[in-house]
Amino acid sequence: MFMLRRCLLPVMLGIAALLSAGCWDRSEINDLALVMATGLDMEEDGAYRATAQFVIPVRQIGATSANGSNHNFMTESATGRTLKETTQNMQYKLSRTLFVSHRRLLVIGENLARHGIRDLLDYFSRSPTTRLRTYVLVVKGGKGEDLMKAEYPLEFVPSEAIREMENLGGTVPITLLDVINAASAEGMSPVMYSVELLRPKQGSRNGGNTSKFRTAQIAVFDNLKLIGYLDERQSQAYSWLTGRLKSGLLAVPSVPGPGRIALSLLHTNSRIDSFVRDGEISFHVHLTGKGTVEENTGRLDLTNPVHVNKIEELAAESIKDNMLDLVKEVQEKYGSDILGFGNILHRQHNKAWQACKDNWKQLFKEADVRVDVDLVIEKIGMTGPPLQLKEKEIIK
Amino acid sequence: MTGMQEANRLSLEKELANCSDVLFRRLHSAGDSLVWVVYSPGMIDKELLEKCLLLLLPAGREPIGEDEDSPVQAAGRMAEVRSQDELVSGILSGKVAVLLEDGRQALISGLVKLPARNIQEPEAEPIVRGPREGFIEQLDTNMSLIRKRLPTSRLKMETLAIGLYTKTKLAIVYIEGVAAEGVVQEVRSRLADIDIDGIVDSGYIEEFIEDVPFTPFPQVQHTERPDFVTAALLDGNVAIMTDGSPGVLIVPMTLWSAVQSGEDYYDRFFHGTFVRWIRLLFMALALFLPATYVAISTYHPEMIPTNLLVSLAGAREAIPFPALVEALLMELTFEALREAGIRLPKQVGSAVSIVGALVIGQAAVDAGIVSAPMVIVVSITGIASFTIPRFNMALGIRVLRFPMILLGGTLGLFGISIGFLGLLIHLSSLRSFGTAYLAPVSPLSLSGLKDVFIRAPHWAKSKRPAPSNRRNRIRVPGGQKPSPNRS
Amino acid sequence: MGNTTEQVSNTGFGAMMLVFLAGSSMTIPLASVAGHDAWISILIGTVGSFALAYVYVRVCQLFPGKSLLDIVGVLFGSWAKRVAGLLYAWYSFHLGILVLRIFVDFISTVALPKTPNLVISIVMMSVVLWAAHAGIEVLARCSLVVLFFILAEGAVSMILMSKDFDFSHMMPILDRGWGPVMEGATQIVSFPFGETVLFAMILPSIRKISRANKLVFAILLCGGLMMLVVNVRNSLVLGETASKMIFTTYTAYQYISNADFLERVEPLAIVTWVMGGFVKSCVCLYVCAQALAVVLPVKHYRPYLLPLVILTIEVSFFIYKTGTESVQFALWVWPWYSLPFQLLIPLAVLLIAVIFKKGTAAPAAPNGG
Repeated sequence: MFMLRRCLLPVMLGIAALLSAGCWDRSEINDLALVMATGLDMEEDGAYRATAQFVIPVRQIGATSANGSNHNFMTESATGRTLKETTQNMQYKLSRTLFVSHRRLLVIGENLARHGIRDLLDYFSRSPTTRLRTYVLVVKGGKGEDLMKAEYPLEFVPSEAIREMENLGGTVPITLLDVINAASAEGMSPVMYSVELLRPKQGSRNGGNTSKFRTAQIAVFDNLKLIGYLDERQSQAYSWLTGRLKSGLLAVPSVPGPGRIALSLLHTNSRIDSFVRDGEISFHVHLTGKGTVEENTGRLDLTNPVHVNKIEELAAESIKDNMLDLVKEVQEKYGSDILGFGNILHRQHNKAWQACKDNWKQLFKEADVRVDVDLVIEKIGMTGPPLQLKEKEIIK
Repeated sequence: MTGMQEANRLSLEKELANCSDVLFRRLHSAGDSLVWVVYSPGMIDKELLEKCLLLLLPAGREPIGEDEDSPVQAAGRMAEVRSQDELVSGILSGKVAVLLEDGRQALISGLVKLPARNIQEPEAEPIVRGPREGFIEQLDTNMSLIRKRLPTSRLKMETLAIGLYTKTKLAIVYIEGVAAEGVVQEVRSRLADIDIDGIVDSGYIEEFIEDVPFTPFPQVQHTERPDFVTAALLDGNVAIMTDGSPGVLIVPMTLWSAVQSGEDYYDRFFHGTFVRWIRLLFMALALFLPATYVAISTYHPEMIPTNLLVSLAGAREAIPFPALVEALLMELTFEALREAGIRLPKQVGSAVSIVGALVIGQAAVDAGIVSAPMVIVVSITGIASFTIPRFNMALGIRVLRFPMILLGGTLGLFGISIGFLGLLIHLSSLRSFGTAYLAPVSPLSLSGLKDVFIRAPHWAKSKRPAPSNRRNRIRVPGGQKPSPNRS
Repeated sequence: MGNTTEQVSNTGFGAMMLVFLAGSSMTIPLASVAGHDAWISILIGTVGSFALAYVYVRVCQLFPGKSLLDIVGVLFGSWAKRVAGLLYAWYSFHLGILVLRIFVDFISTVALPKTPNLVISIVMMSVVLWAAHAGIEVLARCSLVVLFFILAEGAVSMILMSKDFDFSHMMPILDRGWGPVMEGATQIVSFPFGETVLFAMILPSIRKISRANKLVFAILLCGGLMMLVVNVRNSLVLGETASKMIFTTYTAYQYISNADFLERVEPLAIVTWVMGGFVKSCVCLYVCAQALAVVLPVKHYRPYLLPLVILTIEVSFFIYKTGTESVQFALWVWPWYSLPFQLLIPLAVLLIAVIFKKGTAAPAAPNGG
C-alpha cells in the first residue's frame, strides 16, 4: 500500500533513534540501591540526618563461597538542611541509584520527633515513589540511625523484622496515610507506634548479634511534635478505642480464690457517640469484644457459667478502668486529642463542631466521657479447671 | 489411412520429445490392424490396462462407440478426441491414448491410478479424541471425505483449474443456504482473478485471496482434518480444496479461530472452556511475557515483590548485557532451536534437545551470559506459543513479540500499552472476506460470544455465527438441555 | 447514509463515548473543591449533563445523517457553517492539546521521569494518528476492547482495595455546605460531560439514529456512575487526602497491599490510563479533522490528520508553562470557556430548528422508532 511505503522510512528512522539515543529511564536492577527502610534524626545543629538500610543482593553466580560475614544489608548515612538535600548528599555516597519504592518503613528518632515532623510529612507525600502505606515508627529513647544499624539475622533485612513485629503485634499498624489524615483533620492529632532498642547486657558474650529491638508503646503527638508515651495498658485501650486492636491480652484476678485468668481478646470493636446538651459535650464509648481464656492460674472451673460471667464482669471492669485512665491521661497530661473525639463530633454534630472547633483543645479537656464494655468470653480452651489440681481444690 | 496414424504419432512424439515417462507401445490387433497406445506408466493401473488392451484387440469390433456391449467401454470408457492438445493433456493426466489405424485418436479415461498415500492422521494437527482421518493430496479423495460426511445435495463443490503449467484443480465447497451468498461470490471472483504459472500448494492460493497481505495475522484458515472442515461448513464458512495439497483453506477467519481446535467440540464443554481460557491466556503470554519482563525489570522495578526483586538482582549481578539485549538474544536462540528441531531426523532429535537444554540453559547461566530468570521467561514463552492450535497464527504471534520486546525495553509499560493499542487498531481494521477480524467481540454479537471465551454446550448453540446466511440462522432448536426425567 | 461512508455500530459508539468519559476520571481530581462530598457533585453533574446532551442529540435526530455542522449550514447558510466549523475545529483542537498535556505530565511524573516529554507525545500521538486514519469504525471497535479492560481493571481494583475501605471517611456529609458541591457540579458538567458535544459530529454515522436518545443518556448515566464509583472508592481509601492529590486514583492504587505480596500494582493503572487517553485524543483529532474538512472543503478529512498531530504536539508544549497551569485551566477556566461550544451554539440551532419547524424527521416516536 502506498501509505505503508511512505511511512516505512520515518518509522524505521524513528525506531532507530529511539533505540540508540533512547531508553532514558532505563535502569538495570543491579544498578539500583534498594532502600528497605530509612531512619531520620535531627542533629544538634538542627540538620537532618538520614540513614538508609540497603539490601545486598546475594550474588548467585560465580563465587558462592561463604565469605564469612552474614551481612546481607548495609547502611549509609547523610546530613542536610532539608530532606531533599539530605537525600542528595546520600546519593553522592552511593555507587548505585537510590531506589525507595520498596521502602516500607520509616523510623523517626526521638529528637526529631520532639522537634516536629511537619516538614517530613510534606516531603514524603509529594514524592511519587514513596508509598502512603509506609509504616511510620518512633524510636523511643534512641536514634533512627542506631535502629537502622541493628542486626536481626532471622529476616533477610532487619527492617523486615521490624515490620513483621508490627504486623504481629496485635494492632493494625499506622501508615503514613493515617498520620497525614490525622494531622490534617481538624480535631485530631496523630500517634505512632514506637520501637525500642535493647542494649545487650554488659559483659555478656553475644557473638555477632549485637543489639536487638522490640516494639514499645504508643507515642503521643501534639501539634506534630512528640510529647510523650502511653503505657502498656493505655496503649491497648487506645488501640481498642480506635478500632485497631486485632488481638490483645488481659489478665484479671480469678475470684473467688487465688490466681489470675488471662484472656486473649479478639474481634474488638468500639463505637463512640457524642452528645451535645446545653453546650456541654459528652462522649459515650461502647466497647465490644470477644475473649478466649488462655491461662488459668486460679482454681475456678470454667465450665460453670456463673464463674465465666463473673470473669466477664471483672474483665469489663478492668477494661473500663483502663479506658478511663487513658482518657484522663490524654486529657490532663497531654491535652492533645489523639482519640479522635473531635473528629467524631465533627461527623455527628456538625453544627456544634463548627461553633466550637476553634476552642477544641480546651473543650476536649473538659469533655465528659463515659465508657461501657460488653465482653463475651466465647471459648475457654480445652479444659474447664486446671488439670493439675486435685479434685478437692477445684472451685466448681 | 496408415499415413494419418503415422502422422499423428510423429507429431505426438515430437511434442513429447524427451519426456521419457511417456511410453509409446505398438500393438497389433487381432484384425491385424496397427494400434499405437501411448500412456505414462506411473499414472495408470497397469493390470487393468493389459486387460483392456486384450479386449481392444479382438477383430471386428468397433473400439470407439456407444455400443453398450463394447468391451472396451465397459472396461475403460474410451472417447474420441480431436485435438492434439487434449490428447497430450489427457496422456499427462493419467489417461491412455489410443491411435487407431484409421487416424482416429481416443482416450481411455478409466485407467487413472495416480500415486497416492494412505489416509492417515495429519501430523501437524493431532488431537486426543475425535476422527483420525486427514486429507491427502488427491482432490477426488478429499472431496469424497467431505461428501461422505455431508451426503446432501445442498453441499456444493464447484471446480475450476488454475495455473498455467500445473493446471491445478480447485474446488470451492460450501453448503447452499447455510453459507452467505456474498462470501461464496467473493471467493469465486477472487479465485477467478488469479493468474499464475503454477500452484504447488494451497498456500499459494491463500496469498492471492487474502484481504491484507502485509500483516502477520493470517486471514484464511488452513487445516488437514475433514471433521474440522465439516464443522466449519456447517457454521457457514466456505472451503477451498486444492489438488496436490492436503491443506484445505477455510474462509472467513477471525482472530478467535486461533484458539479453537476440533477437539474442543468433542469433549465436554467444561474441558473445552477451560482449555480455551488456557489458550487465550498463553496466547497473550506468548506475545507479551518477554516484553513485560524486560519492561518491569528495567523501568518499573517497584512492581516486583521485594524478595523476588532481591533474588533477581542477585541473578543479574554478573550479567554483562542489559535486560533488553539479553531478551532478544535468548529469543533469537530459541527461534533457531525451534527451526532446527523441525528439520531434524528423529535419531538426532534427542541429542539436540539435550544440547539445547544443557548448553543454552544451564551452561549459559552458569557462565554468567544470561540470567536464570530470563531462561525461565523464554521457556514459558516458547511453551505458550506451542499451545496455540493454529500454526499460522502462532507464527504471526511469534514474529510480533520482537517489536514488543523492543517497545517494552525502550519505553517500559507505556511502550507495551502503545504496542497493544497499535495491535488493537491493526486487528480492528482487518477484515477477512467481509467479516471483521475481531468479531464477535468487537462488533459485539452476544450469541457469537458463546464460542469464543467459552465453549457452549451443543444444545445451547442455537444460532449460527455471523458469516452464515442470515435467513438460516437457527441451528439447534431450544429445549434440548439434558435433565433428569426428561421423557 | 450521511457524508461519511462509514457506519458505526451503536455499541461501538456507546463504548467510545463511555471510554471518553472514563478516560478523564483518572486525570484531574474531579470536583476536588467539594472534598469528600464530591460524589454528590458527580450525581448532580450527571443529571445536569442530561439537559446538555438533550440539546445536541435532539438536533441530530431532527436531521438524521447530518452532523452538527451540516445542520448549521442548512439553517444558516454555508458561511455560517464554515465559521461554526472553524470554531469547533479550534475547540476540539484545544481539548486535544489539554488531554495530551495532562496525559504527558502524568506519564512523565509517574512512569518515565527522565524521558523527554517530546518522545512521549510523539509516541502517543502516532498511535492516535494511526487510529484516526483508519477511520471511526475502527476506533469504535478498539473502544469496545478498551472498555472491557477499563471495566475489568475497575472491578479488580475495587476488590483489592475493599479491605481498606473506611466509611467514616465519607462521613460528615455536606459539612462544607452546598456551595463547594455546586461548584464541583458545574465543573463536572463541562468537564468531562459537556465535551461529549464533540460526539455530535460523529452521531450521524451511527446505524440507528432513532435510538440515539436512549443510547446517549444511557452512556451518560453509566459514565457518571463509573466516575462516582471511582471517586467514592478513592475517598473511602484515602480519606480527605483524596481531594488534595493531583493523581488521586494512582495514589489510591499505591495503597493496595493484600496478602503481603499483591502490592505495587499501580503500573497497571498506567496501562488503563494510556488506553483511555488514547481514545479521547483520537476522538478529538477526528472531530477536528472533520470540522476542518468543512472549513476548507476537501473530499476527505485524512490529509488534515498529520498536520494536526504535529501542531498538537508542538502547541501542547508552550500553551501551558507548568502542569499546575493546565490543571487550573481545566478546572476553573474551561467551564466558562466552553459554554458557547457546549451549550449556546447547539441550543441556538435547536431553537431555530424547532421554531421554524425545519428538520426532516418527525419527532421520534415514543418507542424510538
